[in-house]
Amino acid sequence: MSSQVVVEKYEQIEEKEIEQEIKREFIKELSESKYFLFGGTIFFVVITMAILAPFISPYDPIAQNMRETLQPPSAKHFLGTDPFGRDVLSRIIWGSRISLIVGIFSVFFAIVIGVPLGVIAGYFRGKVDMIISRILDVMLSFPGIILAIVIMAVLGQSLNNVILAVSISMVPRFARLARGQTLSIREKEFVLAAVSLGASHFSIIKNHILPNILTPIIVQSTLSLGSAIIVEASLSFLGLGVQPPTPTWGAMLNLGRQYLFTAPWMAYSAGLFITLTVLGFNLLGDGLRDVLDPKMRRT
Amino acid sequence: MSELLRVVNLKKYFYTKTGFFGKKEVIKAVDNVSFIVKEGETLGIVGESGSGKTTLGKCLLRLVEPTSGEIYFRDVNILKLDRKELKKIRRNMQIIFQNPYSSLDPRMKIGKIIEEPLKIHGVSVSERSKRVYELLDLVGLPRSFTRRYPHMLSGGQRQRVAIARALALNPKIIIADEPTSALDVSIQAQILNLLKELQKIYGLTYIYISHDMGTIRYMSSRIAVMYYGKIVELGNKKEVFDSPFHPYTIELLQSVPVPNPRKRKIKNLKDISYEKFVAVNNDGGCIYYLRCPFANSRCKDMKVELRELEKGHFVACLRAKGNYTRQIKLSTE
Amino acid sequence: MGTLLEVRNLKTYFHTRKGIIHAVDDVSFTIKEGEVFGLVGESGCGKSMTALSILRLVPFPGKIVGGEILFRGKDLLKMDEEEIRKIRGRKISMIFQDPNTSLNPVFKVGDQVDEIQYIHFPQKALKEIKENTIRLFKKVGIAKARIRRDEYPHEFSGGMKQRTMVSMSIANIPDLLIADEPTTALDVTVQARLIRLLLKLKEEYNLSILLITHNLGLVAETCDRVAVMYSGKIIEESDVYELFDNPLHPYTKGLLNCIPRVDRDIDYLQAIKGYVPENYGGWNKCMFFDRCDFAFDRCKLSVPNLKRIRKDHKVRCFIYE
Repeated sequence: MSSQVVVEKYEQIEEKEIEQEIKREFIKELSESKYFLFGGTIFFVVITMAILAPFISPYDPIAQNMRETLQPPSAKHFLGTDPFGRDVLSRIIWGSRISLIVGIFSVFFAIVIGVPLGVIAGYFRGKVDMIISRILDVMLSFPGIILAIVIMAVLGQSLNNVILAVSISMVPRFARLARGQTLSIREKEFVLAAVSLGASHFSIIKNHILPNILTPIIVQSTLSLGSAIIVEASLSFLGLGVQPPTPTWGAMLNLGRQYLFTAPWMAYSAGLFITLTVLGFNLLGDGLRDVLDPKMRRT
Repeated sequence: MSELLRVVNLKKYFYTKTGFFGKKEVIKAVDNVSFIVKEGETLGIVGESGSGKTTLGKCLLRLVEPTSGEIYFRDVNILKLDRKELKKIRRNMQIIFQNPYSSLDPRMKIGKIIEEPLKIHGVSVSERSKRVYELLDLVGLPRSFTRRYPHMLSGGQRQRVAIARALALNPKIIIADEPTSALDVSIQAQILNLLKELQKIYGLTYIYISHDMGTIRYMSSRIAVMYYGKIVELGNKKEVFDSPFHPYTIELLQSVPVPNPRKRKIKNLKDISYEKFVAVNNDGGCIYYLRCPFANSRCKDMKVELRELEKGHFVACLRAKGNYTRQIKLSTE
Repeated sequence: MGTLLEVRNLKTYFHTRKGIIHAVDDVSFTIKEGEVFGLVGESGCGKSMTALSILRLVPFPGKIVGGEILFRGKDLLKMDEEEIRKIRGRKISMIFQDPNTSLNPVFKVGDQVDEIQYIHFPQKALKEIKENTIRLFKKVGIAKARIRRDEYPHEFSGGMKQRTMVSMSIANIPDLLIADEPTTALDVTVQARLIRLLLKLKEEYNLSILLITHNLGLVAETCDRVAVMYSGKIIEESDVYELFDNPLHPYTKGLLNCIPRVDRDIDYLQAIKGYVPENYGGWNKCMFFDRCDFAFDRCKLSVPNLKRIRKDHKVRCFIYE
C-alpha cells in the first residue's frame, strides 16, 4: 500500500516535470522566434507608452503655445511642435492611447460578434450557413475602410462610434475564419465521438470546437490589431475620426501633410509610429503563428 | 444467450451527382441488411473498402441517419427515438473509432477526455475522478496520464484512452470500427487482447468491424461478410473460415497472405481481368456476378437473398449448395 | 547469381530539435540479381529511410552521413546529381505506398507513363513511346489501354493507380525495383492481384525487388531473403524459409507470434509488451531490451553485433553470442 503511494507520488513529480518542460519548450521556442521578440518589444513599448502617458509626456498634449509654433526638433521639443505650438512628442504619446483603445476594443467586439456567427454557420451548415455567409459576403464586398467611412458618416463622430465602425468592418474576417475552422473541426472523429456519447450541440461547441479554433483566432486578432489601427488613423486622417483637439496619429498625419515641406517632422513622426506599431503587431502575429502552428501539426 | 440487438432491413443510400450536368447516382452503402447480435458475443463484420461496413457501424448508433429499416436494442427501435431518449440509449452503446489520432480532442487532457461521457450523463464530480482512475487502471495506463495531452501519447496508448472513454458508462455493446488498423502489429496484439479481457470481465457484446481477416477470426464468434452494401455470408466463425460457401468469402480467404513461405498461394491465384474485378452491377442479379468464377446465367438476373444453407450459416448465393462450392474451391486451389 | 546492390554501413541521420535520430544506423545488406529481398519492421524502424537513401531521396532534415551503396560496383553516394538522375527511374525504380498521391492529378495517366520513358530516352520517337505505354498498360492488366491512357488519375481506382505506378516503374526495364509498402493502402483482394503481378513481372524481366513492408505474410509469400529492422538497425537477416521455420531474435519471434492468423484459431495472442522506441543518438544498449522477455544484464550495458549463426542466417542478440 505504502509503495503504491510512493509510486504515485513519483509519477506525479514526473508529470509535473513533463508539464514544466512543455512550458519551458514553448517559452524557448517563443524566445527563439525573432519575429515574436521584435513584435513583442514594440507591442510592449506602445502599451507602456499608452498607460504611462500622463507621467512620461513632457507637455500637455492639447495646451497651445502660440509663441512656439512649428518649432523643429530640439532639446526642448524632442520632435518639434505643430502650428498651434503643441509638443509633437506629447501628442504622439497621448495619441497611442486612442490607437490602442480603438484597436483593442474593436478587435474584441469583432471577435465577440464574428466568432459566434462563424461557428454557428460552420457547425449547423445548411440554411443558417447560407444566410450568415451571404451577409458576410455583402460586407466583405465593401473595402473595410469604405464601410467604416459610411458608418461614421451615418452615426457621427465620437470615440465610441469609431470603435463601432472599425469592429463592424472587421467582423467578416473573424466570422469567415471561425466558419472555415469549424467546418474542418466538426468533421473530425472526436466530434463524432462526442455525439456518440450523447453530448449536446452546445457542449460540443464549447468543449471541442472553440478550444480547437482558438489558435488561429489569436493569431488573426494580433494581425487585426494592426489593421484596426490603420483604419482608425485613416478615419482621423480624413477628419472622420475622434474630434480634435484629442490627439490621434491619423489627425496628426493629416495636419502634418499640410506642412510637409516646411515642417516635415509632424508627418514623419506620426507616420513612423503608425508604421512601427502596425509592423510590430503583424510580426507578433507571425511569430505567434510560427510557434503555435507546429504544435497544431504535431497533435 | 438472449438477443441484444436486432437489425431489420437496414438501408443507407447516398445520393450524388456526377459532374455539373451529370445524372443523379445512388450509392447503396448499406443495402437491406438484417442480422441479430446476441448478448456477450462478438459479431465480426468483414469487408473491403466500399463494402459499407463503417457506414453500417455508424448507422447502428445513428451517427449516420439510415435511409430506412429498423434497429432494435432490447425491443426499443432506436430509429424512432427522440434526442432525449437517444441520449439514454447511448449509455448502452458505444463506439471505438479507427484512428486514435483523430478520435481524441488534441486540446483536451486525457483526464477530461475520459471524464466527458460521465459529465454528459450527470455523474457527480467526486464519483467522476474516482471512475477516471478506475478506467485508466483497467486499460493499463498509469493514473498520471490524466494530465497529459493526446499528442504526448503513442498510438497504442491513445487507443487505450479511447477504449477507456467507451467503457466509462458501462455500456452493454461496443462497436469497434477497425480499432487496430492504424497501429503496428506488435501494438495491435496488445489492444486486441485488452478488448478480449474486458469482454470477459464485463460480459460485453462487441460488433467488431474490420477489413483484416486475421483479426476478425481472432476476435469474433460469428462473422458477417459484406460486399458492396450487402451481407453475402453470415455464420459462426469456424464455418465461415473453414468451410465458406460464398465465392467472395473464398476469394477473400485466399487473398490473405499467410506468414508461412511453404504455403505460398498468391502466386497461384486465378486471374480475373481487372475490368471484371472492380465491376458492380446494381440491378437485378447478384452483385458479385461479374467477378465470380462460378457464375452462370441465372446469377445475372435472379434476385439473390440471404438464405440459411446450414443451421446458423447464411449465404447469399444461388450456386451454393451444401458442399458444392467447397468442392469447386478445392479444385481451383 | 551475381550481386546487384550492396549496402555497406549506411547511416542516415535526422537532425531534430530534440536530438539526432539515427533513422538508419549502420545498415548493411546485399541484394542479388533476380532476388526478392524483404526489409521488414514496424513504423519508425528505418526501413523506408533505407529505401529512400538508396536513391538519395532522403527528405529534409534527414541526411546520409556515411556508408556506401554499391550498385553493380559503383557507389551511388559518390555520384553527382546528373549521374544519379540517370539511375533513378532507369536502373532503379520505386513504387510508393499511396497511389493516390504518387500520380500527378492534372496530367493524363498515359502521358505520365510516356514522360518517364522520354526522360531517359529522348531520342526515341514519341509514337513508339506511346505504343510502348499501351503495351505496358496491357501488361499490368489495365484493359482498354488505348482509351484508358487518356484518362486522369481521379478516374482510376486505387488498385488501378498502383498498377499504373507499376507500369511506370518497369517502363525502362530497370534492374532493381524498390517497392515501399506497395499494397498497404489497398484491399486484400486487390493486394493479392498486385503482388501476383509483381512476381510475374519479376520473372519476365529478371528484376530484383527490394520489398519494404510491415506485413510478414507478404514477406512469406514473396521474398527470397529477409532482413528484420528495429530502431534503425538490422536485427536479423536470413533466408525466408529459415526465418519462418527457425526465427532467432526475440523480436522476430514476437512479431510472428502476434499476428492473428486466418488459417487457424488462436485463443491468446502473445503480444510484445511496451512501445517502439525512437533511436536518438544511436544504440548504447540493445534497444529491444525493455520489451524483451529474455533480456539479461549484458543487454543493458552494450550493443550486440549482427552475428552469423548459420549459413545465411545472422542475428543481433546476446543470447547467441
